[in-house]
Amino acid sequence: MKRPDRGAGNCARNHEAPAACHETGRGTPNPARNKRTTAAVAALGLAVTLAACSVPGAGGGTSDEQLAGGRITKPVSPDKVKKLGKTDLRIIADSGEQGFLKKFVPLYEKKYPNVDVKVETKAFADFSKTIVNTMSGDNPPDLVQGNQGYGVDGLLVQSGLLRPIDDVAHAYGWDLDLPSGATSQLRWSSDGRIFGSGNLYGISQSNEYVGVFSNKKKLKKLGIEEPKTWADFTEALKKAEKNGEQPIMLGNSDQYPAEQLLGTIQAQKQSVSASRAWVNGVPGTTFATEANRESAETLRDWAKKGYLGSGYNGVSSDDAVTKFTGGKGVFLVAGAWNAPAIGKQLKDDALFTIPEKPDGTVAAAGSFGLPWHISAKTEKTDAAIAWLGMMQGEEGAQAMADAGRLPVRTKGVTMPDKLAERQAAAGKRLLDDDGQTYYFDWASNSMMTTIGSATQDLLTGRLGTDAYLGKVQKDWKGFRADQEKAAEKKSGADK
Amino acid sequence: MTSVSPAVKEWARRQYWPAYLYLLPGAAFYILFVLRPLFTTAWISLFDWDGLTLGSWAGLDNYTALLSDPVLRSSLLHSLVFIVFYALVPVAVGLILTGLMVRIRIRGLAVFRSLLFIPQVLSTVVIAVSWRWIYDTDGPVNGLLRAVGLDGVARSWLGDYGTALPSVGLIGSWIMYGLCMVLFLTGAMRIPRELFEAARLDGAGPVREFFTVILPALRGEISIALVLTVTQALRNFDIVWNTTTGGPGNSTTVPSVFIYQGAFVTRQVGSAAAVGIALTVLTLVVCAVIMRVLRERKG
Amino acid sequence: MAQTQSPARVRPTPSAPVRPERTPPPRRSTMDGSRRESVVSHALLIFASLVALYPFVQILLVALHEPGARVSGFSVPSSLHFDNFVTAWNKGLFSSALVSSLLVAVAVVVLTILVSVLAGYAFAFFTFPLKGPLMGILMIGLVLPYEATVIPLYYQMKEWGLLNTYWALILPQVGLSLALGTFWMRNFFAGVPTSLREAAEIDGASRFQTLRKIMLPLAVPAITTLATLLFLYAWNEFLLALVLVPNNPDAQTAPLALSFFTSDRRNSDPGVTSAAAVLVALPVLIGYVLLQRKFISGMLAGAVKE
Repeated sequence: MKRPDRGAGNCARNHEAPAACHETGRGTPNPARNKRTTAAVAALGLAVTLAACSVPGAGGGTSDEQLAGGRITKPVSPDKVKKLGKTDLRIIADSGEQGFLKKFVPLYEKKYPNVDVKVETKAFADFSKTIVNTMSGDNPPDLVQGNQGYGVDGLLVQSGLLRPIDDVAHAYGWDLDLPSGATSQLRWSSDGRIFGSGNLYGISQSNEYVGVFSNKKKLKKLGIEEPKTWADFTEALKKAEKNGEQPIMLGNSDQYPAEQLLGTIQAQKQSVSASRAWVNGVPGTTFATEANRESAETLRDWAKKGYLGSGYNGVSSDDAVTKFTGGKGVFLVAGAWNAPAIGKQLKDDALFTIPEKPDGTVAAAGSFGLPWHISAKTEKTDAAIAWLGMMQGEEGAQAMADAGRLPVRTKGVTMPDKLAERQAAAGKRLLDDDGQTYYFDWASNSMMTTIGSATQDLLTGRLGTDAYLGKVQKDWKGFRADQEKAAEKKSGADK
Repeated sequence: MTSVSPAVKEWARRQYWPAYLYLLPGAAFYILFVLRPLFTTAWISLFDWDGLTLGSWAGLDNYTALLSDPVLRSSLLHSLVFIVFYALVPVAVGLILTGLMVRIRIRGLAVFRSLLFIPQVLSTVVIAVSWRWIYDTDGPVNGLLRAVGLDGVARSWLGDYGTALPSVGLIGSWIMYGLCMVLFLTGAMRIPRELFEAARLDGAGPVREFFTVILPALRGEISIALVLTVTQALRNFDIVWNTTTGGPGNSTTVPSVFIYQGAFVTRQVGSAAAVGIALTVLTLVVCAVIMRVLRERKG
Repeated sequence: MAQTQSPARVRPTPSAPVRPERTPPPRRSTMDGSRRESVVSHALLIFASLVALYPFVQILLVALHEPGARVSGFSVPSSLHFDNFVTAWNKGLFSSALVSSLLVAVAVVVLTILVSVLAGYAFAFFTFPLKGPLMGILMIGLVLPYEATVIPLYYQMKEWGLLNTYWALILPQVGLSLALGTFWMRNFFAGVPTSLREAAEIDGASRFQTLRKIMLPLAVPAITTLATLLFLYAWNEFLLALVLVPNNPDAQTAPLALSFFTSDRRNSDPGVTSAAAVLVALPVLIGYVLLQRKFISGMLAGAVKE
């Protein structure tokens, strides 16, 4: 924290605040005492403020620095990794990866015997709070998980803490495996201010998206087939409601589930590229599109008709899963990641699908799982690249499946149970159709709260559709303006 | 320098200068680990800073933005409501319980004290989960209401715009009342028996005894309890975050949510610092008023 | 037996025998009332305790279900299972976390009490310049929402090379706790009759001796309560531990271990989470119950000395 020119004057100003304290002292009218008081308090102020006066933060942006470990052109071989000698590969990951890591680390260590993998996992909320500090610290891990969007990945890129991996993607042929559109969630301009294009900074083997869970027995009782298309689905909702059942189980006290429900509806109506463009912050896009208006109206309509039951704003997403498996609600619109909890209770009766769009394709609110990044400061690039390469291959995919999660790559992978097979099939279709529409809350740092609370207001009719769309767009706009200002300042400073 | 006036000499004589030696150890910790970070925070609040890359000077922008944010303003109102639930209710309940425990011999006093202290011991995150179940549409509160025929009143307490705020507040009351009771009990044990006996000789009943003996004697404890609970009320974060996330809509948002989000989610550290400073000042003012009021009545 | 000897119980002092002779009339007159009062009071206390207990019991019961059971709310398990506790213990690395927490909390309590007793004594009895303003500055520490200062604190600790050490947890918490501690002790000392202090001064005791020989023994109950509170706060401190010890699993404290379950994004298991919560709370609860004896006898000691 070295300080440049400006602070001196402000520093002095800062001392005045504590000096004012003497006025609160009991007042013996004595000039000498007052003078001394002022002096003593000012001295105290000086002592504590000395360190405070410097522009906070460090200059980031090592964007034009050399690629850590040099550019690669072909997959890293075990022999090349061996050249590192006996070494550690330090990893910090989300605790949700524990199952996968337990399966995958031994495989990796077997293939690259000179590398000792040291893993630390943290629960997601803790992880996202500390990861930026950890990466910018003196001793960052070699491999780390981030999170799509500006809050984590964007900040890491802005500070030049991640190694771009376009060369790796090319060498391993990922650019052929993955739908090109979907990798935009891992791309950033090198200043970290433009999301969705530019260098590739991360990769993931996990596929996460929102779909429709249902209970086979319950559908049978109601005489409903598992819906194949969106029209089937809305028809089924009507029928369920007529039979006195709550059509959709929703637990929205965490505020994101209703947003994902809206995303599910919106995926049916808006084109995938338009959805992504808005999330990525493409100038000129807006949330107030005709398709979004329709989606918001549909959601409001469902709430009004009682499709979502009552009291959903006081139920957590976890408790919603519990209620659903306990027989409340015909459908549960939720992330595929809930499958282990649901499968355990409903066994083979658990159904899962993404309803088809009218044009026969599928699209859903979804993305890859938390992306893996290589630290820009690592000295073990080859070992880190080998990790990513192996993870994206068949062994990584199988380990993911064995851990009860959904791999991106499904070819040659055996899924553990029926529900997982259903999800894998739906997931493959989603990728083939390049139908991940991402999540609205990626659009800005504050969007999670903005859209979360606004959607609650929409559901209960406190916000009209137009006001709702406007509120979300206002947040987006404000954030774009901030990003542009920051990018300008940065390019100004670079000159 | 002119000759020192007698008044100053007299004043200096009355001072006990070695007192500073007693304060020194505490002052060292306090300056280094409270005041220094606090001043840095005040300094940061004048910047636009993401917590990592170089910040840029913003002057008072963070503060003016804060004043013009309607959600933040309503969150302050929520905080004031929380003062009732976190501070006033628990202090009242704590006083009543203490009054009961001091007057008569309580069988199993130790057991009661332990039980009443449980809410303070549990992690707030888990408390939040547990209360979410209590308030659930199918939970015990609604079950009770339906059992006595009040089906109309039953609702999702945390999901309803009208009831979410007081419902969250009641969780705070629940956490705090045991604490208040323990504070008051400690204080009440210091009350000389003679005072009770004198009051009884005057024919004072339990109520008058409470107001003439217990209450005045506990003034110091009450002011500490109020400062602690008011501070908690204004800083309240975990409970809100884990029960309602500030919803439905913004009906339970509190200023701490802005601090937390600014510092760790939206990475507007400067603006979070501004909210933090403003909140500190506000709490300081409220607590100063409490202490002043309680002190004046004494004199 | 309890009711009949009601108010005199806390005074097993030599002077006690004098009083009962003087008090019979009022005691008899309040006896019927006091029996009714006693029943009402006990009923109220039992109710208050049940209210305090219910959420905890709910958590405990959820934790005792078989692993993987998705329970929410009050539900008695058909048979007791401790698997959730085992899972929580192992996954949360509780064995080392509890030790770390204990170490940090004890250090914080001891240091805080030391400095607070000294400062509280000075604020209560001495006249010195800037007393009022200093008290005011101290009050800041009492009300500070330190969520806002934790990031500057992070950079400060980083600069001083204290990140990932126990010191990063202990030192700031002492700073934050001593505001409460000093107010608390000052309040207590201010309530001590001046006659006691004057008597000591007449005996020729220095101010420090008065503190050590007269005031400290008197302050045992106040200090015990303060220590309990400080211990609780230190034990449950989460955010500082998360931010200031980002990278050292060995110095991870119990609330962090708990957060490993509560902050989990997509794999939360109510049973294991509840078990973890009980694991964090139980040591404190047991300690508190054990302390009760000492606590109450400490109070009695205080009453005697007066």
